[in-house]
Amino acid sequence: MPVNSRALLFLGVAVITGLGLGGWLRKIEASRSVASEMNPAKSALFKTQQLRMGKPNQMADIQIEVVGGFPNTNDQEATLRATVTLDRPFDGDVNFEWVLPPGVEHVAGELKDSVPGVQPGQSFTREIAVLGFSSEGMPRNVTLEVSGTARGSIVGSSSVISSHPTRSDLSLGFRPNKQMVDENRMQQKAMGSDDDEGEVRPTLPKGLKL
Amino acid sequence: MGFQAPQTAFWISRLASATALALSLAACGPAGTLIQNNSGGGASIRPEGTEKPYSSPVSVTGSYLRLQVQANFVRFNDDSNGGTRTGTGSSGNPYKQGLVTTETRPIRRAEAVVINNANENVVQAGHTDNLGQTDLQIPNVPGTYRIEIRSRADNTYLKASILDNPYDKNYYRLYRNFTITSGVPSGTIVGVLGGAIVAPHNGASEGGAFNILDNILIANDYLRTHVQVNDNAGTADYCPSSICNVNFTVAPKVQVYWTKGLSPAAYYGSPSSAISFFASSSGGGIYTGLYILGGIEGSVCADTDHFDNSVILHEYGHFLEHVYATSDSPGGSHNGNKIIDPRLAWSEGWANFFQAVALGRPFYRDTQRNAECPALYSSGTASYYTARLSFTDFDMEVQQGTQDAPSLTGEGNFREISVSRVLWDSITGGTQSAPYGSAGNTDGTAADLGFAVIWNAFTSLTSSSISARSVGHLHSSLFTMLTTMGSSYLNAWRDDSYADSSKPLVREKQHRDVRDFALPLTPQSVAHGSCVANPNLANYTQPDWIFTSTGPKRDTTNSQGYIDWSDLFNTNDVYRYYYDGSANRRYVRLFYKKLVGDSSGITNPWDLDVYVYNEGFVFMNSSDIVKKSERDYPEAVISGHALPATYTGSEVIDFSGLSPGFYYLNVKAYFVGSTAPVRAGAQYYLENGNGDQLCP
Repeated sequence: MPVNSRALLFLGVAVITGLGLGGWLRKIEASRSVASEMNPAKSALFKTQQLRMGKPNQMADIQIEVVGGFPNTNDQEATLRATVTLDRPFDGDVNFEWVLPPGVEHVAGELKDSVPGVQPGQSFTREIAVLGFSSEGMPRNVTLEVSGTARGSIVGSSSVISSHPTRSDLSLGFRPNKQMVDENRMQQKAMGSDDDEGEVRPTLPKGLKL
Repeated sequence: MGFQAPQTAFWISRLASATALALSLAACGPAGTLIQNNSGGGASIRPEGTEKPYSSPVSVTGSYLRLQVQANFVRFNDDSNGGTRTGTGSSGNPYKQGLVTTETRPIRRAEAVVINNANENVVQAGHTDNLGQTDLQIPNVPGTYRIEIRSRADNTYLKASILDNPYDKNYYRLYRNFTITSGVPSGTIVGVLGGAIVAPHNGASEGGAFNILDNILIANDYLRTHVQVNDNAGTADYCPSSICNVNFTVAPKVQVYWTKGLSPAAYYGSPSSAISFFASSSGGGIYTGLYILGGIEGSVCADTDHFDNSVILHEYGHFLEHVYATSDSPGGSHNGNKIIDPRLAWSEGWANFFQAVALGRPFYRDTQRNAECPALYSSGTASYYTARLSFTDFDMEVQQGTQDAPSLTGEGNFREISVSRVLWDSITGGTQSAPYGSAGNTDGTAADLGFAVIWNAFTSLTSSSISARSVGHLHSSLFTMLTTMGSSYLNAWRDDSYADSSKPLVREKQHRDVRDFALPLTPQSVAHGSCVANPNLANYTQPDWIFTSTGPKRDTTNSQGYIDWSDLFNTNDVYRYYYDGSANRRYVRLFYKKLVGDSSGITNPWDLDVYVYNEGFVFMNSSDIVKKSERDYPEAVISGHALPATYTGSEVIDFSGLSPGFYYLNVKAYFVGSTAPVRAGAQYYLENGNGDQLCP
């Protein structure tokens, strides 16, 4: 792991655990001079959204993950967790609906519902448990549809998770490591995220226009 | 008659297909970089493929026949019923909006090839005409042949190829067999059985490929019509030969990658993300070209863009920018409801604008799903629906309150939809032909300049003296051209007092220069406060620059506490600076203090920091920051950099170790955290270590 990745990771943990980050930063400042200007400080917390590669202007960003990883067999329960973050305002409630393909059986959790009062920048999370969504057999796609109205139009976003997600980007070979099959991590790898734990990815060209 | 899928079409999202892909990769040869993964295995970046060459026309001697065939494609109309909702919302009659009805259109200017089935020899090659018809002379020799209509063109009207992916580069094709019997008189017009050859909108969905091709033709047709030298003042697209000297013919060849059911995000390891993009350079297994969303994980009922004409032409607009104007956009994520990097706002705003003018409609539409998808329940409207929009249309005539309307003069340069609107309002007006005339002018702002002069200003951005290209550069160039065209044109477009909102620049609160981003600073051997005025900056207040007490906006943070967005207009200033490697230029010093006249009642001014970015930087990308000075106010005096009288804060950048060249100085007001206090206003200036002032 690169040194600065470790620093970022540590800082992230510090925030989450409520450490006195401000004080820590000031401590660094006290010893600062021109010569030490490259010490990590405020800018160590920079993590620009611009490096994301999501659909531009989307209503909502949806990330689906399989909690605890993909089951090996279809008779094992899979827990799907969706995190929905609004990017643009809906007129009213935000509706969500899990769309299950044939062969995937609903066990628990709300398949569809409305969430009131969600504003841009805010997130909500929903989980369902299903059977028939595993690494076994044929691939199956589960979709989360988020919809509503905005200025009178029917609008929405969706996200698809496959029980056999693409294990490589198509520009590369197949990489048969099931532990890495996590859509969230795949997403974070786009465009040079610092979060990769040891995996070396090719560098995408700068300035991809979305 | 029949269709043939791409010869090696693939979207490998299946374990079952993994072996096939591995074999395919093994056959790729030694090209490509070996990378390792933490499972211990390895994989090569797939090398770019080679597109099959175009067939050349064949000179037919002796007896011949004329083969006339009609070729069409079917698409979902993304403007079905004007985009309004249809249906009742019941389970059997759901609401629909976006891709609702289908329409059949001719396949225009596409490659058409006649092949002898017996020996695979090409007996004739050409292209369809503007009505989708062929008229090809073929030898009058009995036998079985086929005609292929291919998803590409290389003629005087259109140069584009719609291919499956950048590695195989297979075009899509429609074909139909036919037989020539003996005894047909020379010169006879012959057709094929079964009527028109049609690419469908569903099933194999080749209609998607041909719709992409047709949109690129629409763009070229638009440019041919509107980008012409025109010396007749007062007419549409007036662009006198004194400033305009090029008549557009056809854009250079572009390659577009599209596969039904596949998101181009699969090329960088995120196959479930919906995305279309333009890559102006190659890297990481992505090669130059347009990438259009064909679906997700095999589904076309989540999100597709092959029938989203706005998206296709938006991406083609990026291609045109790359070819004709040069882009400095850092690319990446953007959202029309935010203040963003003005380089990005310009590039995206241009692309939004270009799709609008090419399609002749004042909005940008991105759809999801279609009328043939299963209905979904949506309690918000107590209804079922099938087709929907990705977001509400961006209207070139309407500002959307808090979402995309600039509030302060200069802010519009940082908003992509504002950039789109200012361009739309600049070209439209009474002397332009429909739909660019005054009929659609609902916002009361229409400078009536026409497209030609805008294009001319756009192409002037290739100048190597320009960097960090933004709409301010376009405006600056346009200002010069309009000055030549006459005051009536110039004054229809701008009002430097910013009082008359019927002028596009005023309505969109945009500066016609780059004062708010990447303004070049030049050292001057003058005392502080004595910079020589820059004649290119109208009504520009000389430094000290200021952040008022209420100016900066709080940086946003993500769930992990990282700063993921900072307001580049209100919270940051960015300047361009040339470091020549000399001792005099080694240091850049920022001196600041509480704003004189500040009435906030707060003691401490904003805590200002300085970051130095390299060329082509992504703002707040740590790897693009080459130097920084980010101490906390109040700051101790740094040895050798004494504070001037009355100034209480300082930051010092030491350029030693950096190569001579252009850099960007970012002065940032520190404003982050849920409990961050608002501070008193701050005023600052920049100078070199020898006291030379950095002047605009």
